Amino acid sequence: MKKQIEKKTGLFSRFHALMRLAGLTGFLVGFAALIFGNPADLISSAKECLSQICSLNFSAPVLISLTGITLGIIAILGEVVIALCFAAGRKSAMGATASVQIFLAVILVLGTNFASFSNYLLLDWTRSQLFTLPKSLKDKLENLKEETTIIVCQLHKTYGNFNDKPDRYDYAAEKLVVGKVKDLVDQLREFGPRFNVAVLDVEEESYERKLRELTENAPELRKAIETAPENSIFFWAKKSIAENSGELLQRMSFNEFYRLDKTSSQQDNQNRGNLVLLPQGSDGLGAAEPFVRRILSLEARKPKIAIAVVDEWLTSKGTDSFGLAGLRKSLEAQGFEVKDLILRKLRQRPAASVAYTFDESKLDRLDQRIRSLNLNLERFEKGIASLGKMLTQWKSTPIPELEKSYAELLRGGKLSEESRKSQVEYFDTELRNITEAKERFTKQKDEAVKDRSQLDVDSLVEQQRMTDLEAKMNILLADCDLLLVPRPTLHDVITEDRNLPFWLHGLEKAQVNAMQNFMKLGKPVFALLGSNTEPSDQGPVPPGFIANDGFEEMLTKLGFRFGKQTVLFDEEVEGFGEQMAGLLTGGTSVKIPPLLLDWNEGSGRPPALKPNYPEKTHPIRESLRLTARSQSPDKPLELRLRHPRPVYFEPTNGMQLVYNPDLFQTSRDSWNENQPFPEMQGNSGERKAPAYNPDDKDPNKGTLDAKRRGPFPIGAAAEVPLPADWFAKDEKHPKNIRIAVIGESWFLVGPDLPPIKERLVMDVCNWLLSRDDFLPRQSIPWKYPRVELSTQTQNLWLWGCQLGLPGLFAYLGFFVLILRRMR
Amino acid sequence: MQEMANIETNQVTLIPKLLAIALGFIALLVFIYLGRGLYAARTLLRREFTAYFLSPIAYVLFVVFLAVSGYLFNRTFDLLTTTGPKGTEFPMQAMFADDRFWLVFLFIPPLLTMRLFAEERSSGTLEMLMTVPLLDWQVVLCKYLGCLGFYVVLWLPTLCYLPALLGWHAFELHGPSSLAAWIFIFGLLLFLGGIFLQLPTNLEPSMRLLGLASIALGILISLFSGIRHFQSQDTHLIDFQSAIDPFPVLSTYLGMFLAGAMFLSIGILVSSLVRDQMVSALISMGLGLLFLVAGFLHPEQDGGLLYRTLYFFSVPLHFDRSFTRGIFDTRPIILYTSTAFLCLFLTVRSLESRRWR
Repeated sequence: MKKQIEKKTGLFSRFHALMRLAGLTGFLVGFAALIFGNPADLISSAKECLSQICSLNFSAPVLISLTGITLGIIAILGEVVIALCFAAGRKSAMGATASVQIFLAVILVLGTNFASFSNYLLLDWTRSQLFTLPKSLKDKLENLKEETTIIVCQLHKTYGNFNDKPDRYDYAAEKLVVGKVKDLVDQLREFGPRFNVAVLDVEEESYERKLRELTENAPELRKAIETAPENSIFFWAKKSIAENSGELLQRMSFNEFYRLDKTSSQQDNQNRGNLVLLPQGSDGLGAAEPFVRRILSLEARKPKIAIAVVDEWLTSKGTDSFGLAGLRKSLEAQGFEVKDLILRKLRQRPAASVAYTFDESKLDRLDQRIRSLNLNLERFEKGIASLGKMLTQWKSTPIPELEKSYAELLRGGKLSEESRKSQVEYFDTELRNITEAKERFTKQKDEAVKDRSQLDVDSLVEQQRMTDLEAKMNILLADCDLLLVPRPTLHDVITEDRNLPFWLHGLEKAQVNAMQNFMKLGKPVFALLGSNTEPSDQGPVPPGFIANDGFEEMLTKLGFRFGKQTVLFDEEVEGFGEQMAGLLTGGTSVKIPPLLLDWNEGSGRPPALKPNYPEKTHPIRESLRLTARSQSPDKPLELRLRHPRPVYFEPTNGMQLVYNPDLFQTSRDSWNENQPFPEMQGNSGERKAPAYNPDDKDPNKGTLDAKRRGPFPIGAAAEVPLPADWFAKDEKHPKNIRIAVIGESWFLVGPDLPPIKERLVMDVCNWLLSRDDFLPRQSIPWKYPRVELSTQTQNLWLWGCQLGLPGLFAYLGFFVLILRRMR
Repeated sequence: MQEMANIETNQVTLIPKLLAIALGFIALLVFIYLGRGLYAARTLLRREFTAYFLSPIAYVLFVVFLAVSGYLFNRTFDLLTTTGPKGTEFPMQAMFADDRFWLVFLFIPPLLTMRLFAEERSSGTLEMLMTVPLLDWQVVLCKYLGCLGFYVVLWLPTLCYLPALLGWHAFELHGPSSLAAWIFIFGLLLFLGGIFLQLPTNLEPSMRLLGLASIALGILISLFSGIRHFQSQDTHLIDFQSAIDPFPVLSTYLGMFLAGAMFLSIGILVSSLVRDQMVSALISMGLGLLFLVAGFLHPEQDGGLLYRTLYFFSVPLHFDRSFTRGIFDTRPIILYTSTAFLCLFLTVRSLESRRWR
């Protein structure tokens, strides 16, 4: 009997062991096959395996894997059965009860944790509720339904590229902002799992892969990431299915979340340095406010800015030397839409006034180009036919007959086979050249035709037919939120490079009226009016051009006063000298001083004309100040405007100013010059360079135009009421409109806008559009906490905690050991 | 109609509240029962606790733990007194969210728990222990609480770091000015009263139990009213002005206590299952590593399911993202406490199984 039991037990044990071995081997083989199936990506391999199981179409690795894992599972089930039999069989009551209790306890714990995984509470125990969103923001986010992806894009170009080489403060700020974004997104996730976050770092090896995965179905997002000028946070969502499949996208630079105050950073901690950042939210809402605002405004329409210029080459799609391509790039990168408005046809003689969109102008240009190319092609074809004929003649006609045909040209001379050969070669080459030129012109024509075909020709032609300038401009401006009027004039009076006469920008009355109508709708205007001084030897204004179009007068009625002179800087005197001395590069290296953002009250005007402005700094000026502080204190704000004209603001009757309207002033080392160009001295042919020359008999004495030394205000912005006489009796009257004027416009020109100038434009545009929240602002700074202790105390703490405490316990340990041994 | 809706809403909010009260009441009863049991086994509890202070391994642990935390303190203190744009917003995060700390921490609970049952079993004293007139759960709980007590003592010296880490520069006491302050004082008095009741050696069991209940209730009342009081804008009873937020310290120490409770319970379970101390320590470390390894991987914080799952199980991530920054997250709290309870329950069953196997 005993033997029988032993035999049975032995058999069972062997079977049990075999089953365990088979299960283990099964798992090993199964997982090995899974890994060998796709060593690079185990998850994809598992997915592939599952799909093959579903379709009952197995590949060899999957079959092996499946068999192995099945064996393993059978072994586990066997173990469970054996365990249950064991528990039930031996002192079964106790064992089974215990098993059930354990099972229930495990289920209870797993269930509790499973429930807590998605139902949890986060209690913010921090003193200043760092991880709690303000209630007003929470209420707004509660209603948000769309799934939003937040992409933190680290280009390691922080704070608008003001420095080519970011320093340790920039890097520290960047790192901290990334952490803050993650914290904020964590808080947002408490509103549901509809917020995803991804971090892209250009320096990471996985950047390309991550970018590809993120933007697989988001081409606009990809484009935005690739063209981002600096470290940015993108907010992206797919438009709802009901709408056209599109993308909702907003970009926010790190600055707009937390702004680095490098000056304070370097001065903090008793000049030992710290990291000082300014949260960019409204009062009391912290840095979360601009962040949440972007999420909430994902579906908001982009503000549209109309740029009104006098020719296509001055538009935002114009040439590098005169166009505003950089401005468009910057505006679009900051979430604006740009619309070019072309108001003159300068190449037409006499110049005509129009109100064209860029496409209308382009259509005109392309039509003209195609006509010109057609004309050339016709000529080429004629040339080719004629040359072909000649070639055939010279090749096939006998020499005597050729001599007869060209007797007049030969004047008795004789033709030889050699001269025939050279003539044939000549015709051959000519024919080849003309054919090549024809091909080139045909290609150009094809391109022009292709460009034309991409335009909505019918509707453009329809638009062009509209002859009422004012009405057409009203229509073109109707969908715009802001009108930008750049009028670049003096670029460099020393080298006389790219100077444009002021009358080039003159508009017709109807066009100015349309601008006035735009303002009457309560919409803002940003005017950049360069100096209107001209060389004394300049002739009269050419026919078709308008010297005084009334635009400046219109702004004057709103309180803006334009100086009649150009501001020159002392630094330019040397340049004039070099130019006079005949140096080839004379005057090209002039570097004028940067603009001032801080000045004493009444500065920038003659003492008797001290304005009565409120003390409160203009938000644009405050923003520029903060921008300056984001650089080292030893580096000035590199905002330099050359040849500006003074711009003053004098409140009209009853106007209540909130801020001091002056935006910036030129340096003290400047003066206002009636004649900024070198002038001829009598008949000697010598030229005299302009220089500051106080004149007691100055006819402008006692006025703003009196000749004097700097500083001069060259930009102003104010919220102004419109004159009552602009409106008919029953016409709706907007309360106030915002206007900004800068006495220079060349700084906008070029393929790229330098960061500080971009900052200026963005601040002005945002302020004009009443988006004051978008402007950098002063706030309660964030900084790393510091512990103030003397060096000796610090050392005591360090040594006491690092060596003293462990040493004390080592001593106690030995003490106890010795005491125990004594016993 | 509106009234009906209001009544329904009230009912919806009332049910969880009633449930919570019922659960709280049950928990209180359980704690009273456990308290009674512990009181009966106080000699064993005292023996288990004091045994640590007589063993050299405890002092080795003290020295190693304090050397590592001292080094981390040094680094953190350096960040608080440094120059330039470096620093730390949360000193506790700089100290305890460090991988090196968790690597050392991994060894502490197994070293504390490895001997609890394994030593008794290998030396044959377990049978003797089982014959004492105590239930299995009392034995397990005494050993566990003794171990947990030592773990708490292990952490006490680190409180020395706080004045430096928080930059304390003023300490003032004020009179109570709000209801929460009065309740807080009442809770403290209840706690102290309970302690006072425990002092006489010849006290009747019922009075001693009353004292224990008073201590437990005092702790609960003073904890909740204390939090409410210190979060309010009223004048605080204790006003210590520090350059750095002190509340993350509170959450960090609470988190450390609960995390330790979980790791120790795992250790005690393993110790009850194996005979060899070294094997017990190694298995405990292996199991503990499951709760730490995800933190060493530093997963990308993208909010996806993978990250949330890893976060759920990873103790270093809990400290990195929550406790050390003053966030009290219920997920890890539930994980720690439920795992601790499960492991203790399994330990009791493991001991019990000796009787029927």
